[in-house]
Amino acid sequence: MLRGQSSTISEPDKSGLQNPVTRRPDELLAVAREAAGGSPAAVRTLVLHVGPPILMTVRKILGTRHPDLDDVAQDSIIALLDALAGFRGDSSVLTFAHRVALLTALGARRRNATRQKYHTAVALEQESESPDSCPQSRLLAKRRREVMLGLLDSLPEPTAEALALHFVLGMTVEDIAATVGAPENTIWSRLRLGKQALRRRLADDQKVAAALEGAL
Amino acid sequence: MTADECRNELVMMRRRDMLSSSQRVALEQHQRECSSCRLTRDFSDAFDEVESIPPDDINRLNAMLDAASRWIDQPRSLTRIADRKRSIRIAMLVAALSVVTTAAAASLVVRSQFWKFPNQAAIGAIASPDSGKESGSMAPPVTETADTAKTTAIEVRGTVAAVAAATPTVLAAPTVGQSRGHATVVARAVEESPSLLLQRATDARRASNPSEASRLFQRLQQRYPSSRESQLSEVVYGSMLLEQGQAGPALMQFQRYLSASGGRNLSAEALYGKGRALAQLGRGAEEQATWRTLLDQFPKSPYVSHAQKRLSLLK
Repeated sequence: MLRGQSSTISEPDKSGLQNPVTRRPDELLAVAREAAGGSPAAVRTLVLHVGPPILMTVRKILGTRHPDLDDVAQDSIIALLDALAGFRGDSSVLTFAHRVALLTALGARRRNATRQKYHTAVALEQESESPDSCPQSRLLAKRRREVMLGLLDSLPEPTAEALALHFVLGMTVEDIAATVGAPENTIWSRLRLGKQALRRRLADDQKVAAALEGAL
Repeated sequence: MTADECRNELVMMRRRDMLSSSQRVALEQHQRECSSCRLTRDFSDAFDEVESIPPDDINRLNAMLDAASRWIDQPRSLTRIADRKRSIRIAMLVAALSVVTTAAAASLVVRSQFWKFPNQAAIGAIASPDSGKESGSMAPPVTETADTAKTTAIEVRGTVAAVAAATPTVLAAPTVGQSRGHATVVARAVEESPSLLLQRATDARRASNPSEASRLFQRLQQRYPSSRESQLSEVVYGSMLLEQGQAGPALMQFQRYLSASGGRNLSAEALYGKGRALAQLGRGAEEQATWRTLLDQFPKSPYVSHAQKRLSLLK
């Protein structure tokens, strides 16, 4: 989404964000303003609208059956309500909610010391999703997610956020700059550093590199 | 330009299903040469696979709605820890506190076997089972009844402070029975904490159980009148009473909240409730004054339009 077009929202696409072609006024903006003031009806309406996208984002970071999924989703909604008071409308409310959920989930991942439990959760997730895709592609996708999420855990937060918004939520450099409130060149620099780190990690991990051979 | 300097715009457009046929061809051509775009495509697609929506999402959505409702009730004090985990942590904290208290008492008993201290009078007052709450006794009597076992976590903490203040001192070491009694008191303290009472009351209200909600709200206000939860409950309880048509008691709740000194988070809500209660009671002049106060003090609140409407009707 371009800077200055903050009061518009568009149809959600595959990544959960909006398709800029079909922009319409951000109907959630007024609701969000009222919700920030504590209006119960507005809060309920907002949660019903942004709840499913928040769940989707949290699920992308933590996995479909992560034991902390419920807690992190609830934390995300509380964090969103807390943050609405300072929301300036630089992006759409939905994009803002996606970002809050993403940061909350990444924070939960960083705090999660029980990595083994996470891997179990991902394994369960793989069995439950994408029944149409072939097992090999599912395995490959799982490994790519593990590599990316492991990288996000280790990168500095600003770089990790830019990389996650780009890869996980499918935001362009312009979208990220508008959402984060940073210059495009800064975002671009963070993405470049993140991709270089990703390449280094792939090179270090021979097993993953072998699995991804041909794709890169 | 190195590979990582490609902006991947066509890849992102493809992800959003925004590519024209010519752009699609251009992307395929470009991807053969650009490893950055291939990397972005493969890793982005991996995250798009997590798309299936489990059937229990409706429960998750309901839980998120509940969390949001709690945020409305306690906008400043709600922690980001889920309730289940928070309760466990509180219980663990209180249990640890009781262990420390018991250990301190045992340590003092051991020391008392070797030394005689000059302040026996104060010691006797603390150790006496008859001194009860006033002296902050270390362990409650074994035969403690439900009514006398209403010690709060704060009181337990206060007991530790009293013990520290009286040190060196002699205290009767708790017997096994007394320890059990103490554990019971601690458990009851957790069950009866202001935050849990408020939560149970609001839960009962949401579950359309007004009598239970009333009982819990009253219990909270009687037992912890100066707690923040009790103050918050005045607005919530007042709203509930108003919904039941009990305008008089509701008005008392709102007035009690508004009459307390200091800035209050729910003052706008309390004024809104007070205005509606006065309307139900037919006290037009006071209602007008209330709406004017609301408009003056909270000109951006969501209740402004209601206040203006009522003022225009009352003129």
